[in-house]
Amino acid sequence: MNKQWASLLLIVAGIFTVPGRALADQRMAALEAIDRGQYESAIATLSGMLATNPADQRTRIQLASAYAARAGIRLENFIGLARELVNSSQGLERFYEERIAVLLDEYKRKSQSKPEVDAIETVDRIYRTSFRLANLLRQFSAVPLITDPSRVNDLNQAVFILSGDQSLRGGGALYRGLLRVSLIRSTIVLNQGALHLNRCRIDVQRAVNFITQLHTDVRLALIDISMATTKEKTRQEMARNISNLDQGVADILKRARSAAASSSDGEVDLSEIMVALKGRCE
Amino acid sequence: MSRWIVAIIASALFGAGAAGAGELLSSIPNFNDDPLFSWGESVALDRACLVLPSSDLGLPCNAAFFAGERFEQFRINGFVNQDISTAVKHRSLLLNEDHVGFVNEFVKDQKPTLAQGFGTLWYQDGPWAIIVTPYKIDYALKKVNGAFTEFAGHVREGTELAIGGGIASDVEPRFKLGLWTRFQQAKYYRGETTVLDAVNDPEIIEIHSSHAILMEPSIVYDFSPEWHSQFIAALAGGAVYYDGTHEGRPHARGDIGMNFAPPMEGARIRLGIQANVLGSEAILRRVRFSSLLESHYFNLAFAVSLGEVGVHLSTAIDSLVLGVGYKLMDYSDEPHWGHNSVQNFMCDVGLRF
Repeated sequence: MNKQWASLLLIVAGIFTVPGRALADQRMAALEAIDRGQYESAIATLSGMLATNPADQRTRIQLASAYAARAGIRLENFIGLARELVNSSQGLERFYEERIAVLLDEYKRKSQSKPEVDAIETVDRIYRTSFRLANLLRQFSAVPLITDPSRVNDLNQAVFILSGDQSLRGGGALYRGLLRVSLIRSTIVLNQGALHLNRCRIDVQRAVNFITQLHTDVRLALIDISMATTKEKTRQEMARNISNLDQGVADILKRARSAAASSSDGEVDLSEIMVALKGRCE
Repeated sequence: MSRWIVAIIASALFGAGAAGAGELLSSIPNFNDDPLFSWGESVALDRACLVLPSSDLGLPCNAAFFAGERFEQFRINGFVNQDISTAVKHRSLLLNEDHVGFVNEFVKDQKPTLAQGFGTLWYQDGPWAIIVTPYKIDYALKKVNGAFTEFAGHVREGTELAIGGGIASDVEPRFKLGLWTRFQQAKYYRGETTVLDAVNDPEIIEIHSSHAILMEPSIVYDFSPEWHSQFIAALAGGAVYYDGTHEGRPHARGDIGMNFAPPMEGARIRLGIQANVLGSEAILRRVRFSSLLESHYFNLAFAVSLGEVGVHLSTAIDSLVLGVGYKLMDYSDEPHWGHNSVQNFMCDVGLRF
């Protein structure tokens, strides 16, 4: 009998000491595997842990980070940008108001009468917006540029995993926002060719799709960063900027669709703009 | 039956560590549990010094060994290790609450770091002693997952005053009792978080203050006069008063062991074995073998355990006492530390009256 009690006590002691430790060891081993570049084993371990407990935010972020690492993104790449986004409301203002100025300045300055001119100006804004945004993102040279399709998939997967938990705040939300910024940069670079500026004719529907996608991604990144920040003032500024961005993009899309509708082949001639820009048409 | 009881006790005592602490945080040393030992010989011997009486040029760690002592002596000790400059730099940023500066500096460092430094003065007058540690700094930092960096950190600076003494029992002179009382004051950060959380809200790295009073009783029992063998039990780190956060709290640890002095010509050697219970390290790391050699010219203290080896040499020139020591802590077999070894250096100088 005494022996049975002793065995029972040993089992109880084991229950209280071993599984927690084993789980912790398993997690640590997975994180260290990421540092060693053994992404597959880290993804397998962390996927298993998340499947067991889908509400575990920490595991969710760690799994996303394993995919991000496989895509070639490490936090060291982001730290300067993260600091600027979170700590400097001035930086944020510059980031968004410059974009809004690009969207709206010409719109305010010029009055349009002819539908064709109207459409050309709209497309002009689309270009300038996308290139300005690309330039802006290029300023954050630390943001890794991922163009290899399998890596873009991993990056998408990382964002997808993090999007599975909308209650993320703080560092987790900031991380999701930063990964989105990286994704946006890749999207812009991968789609620049599709706009065929040198052809001097633009497929308006493609441009609309591109801008729509860009708008969605930028908006989600802004919301993530807004959810991360603990500063109320910054959060309010970001809400204002998101609202302005929505309005500006809605105007552009409306005008672009109108331009596409008035064109017989859905394309708009940009040669006038190219001449103004001292460019040449192919 | 008895072996089952032993198994249960061993399971309870040795298996109790680390539960409840953060996963990453539990993988770095907890300096809050540091023993009093802050002078050359004791640092080299580490917890093994609890089971050895000191050499005639040292100070006992186990207050029960003070019983019957007649020496009067004074000593100044210094201790630093190889990464002390990192510790001092980060300490200055953290404890001055420059959180952004700390995160900036911290992001640059890739390797895990362990560092410690302190200065101590002690005075012994027969069966009692007083130890003053005007400054002590402890530092440990570890990062994992470069894709979404998480880190555990421990930065602590503090001061300490300890008073201790020992007596032999009137009823049974082979029983000696001792007590250290330690008064501690510290500022510290001990926690784990992610770099992005720290960037997002640098004040997440909170600096706390604490005061603590620790009572550390011990007993020594002489059980074999031929080889001067002694059995020892000591309890350390038990706080009777503490006002800091849970993360900075010292934890009680118990040590048991024995020593004996085999007959030897021209010198005296004492050998000891010590085991720490109520600790959080791996079981094999909690057992230490130690020796203390006292010759006409010098005294040599030596201790070894899995992952640690320490040596201290002291000598006296008339009343002047000089000592140097070295301790190597090897972490290569520790899971998730990824850091091979830490080298520590100590020196001491003082007077013996």
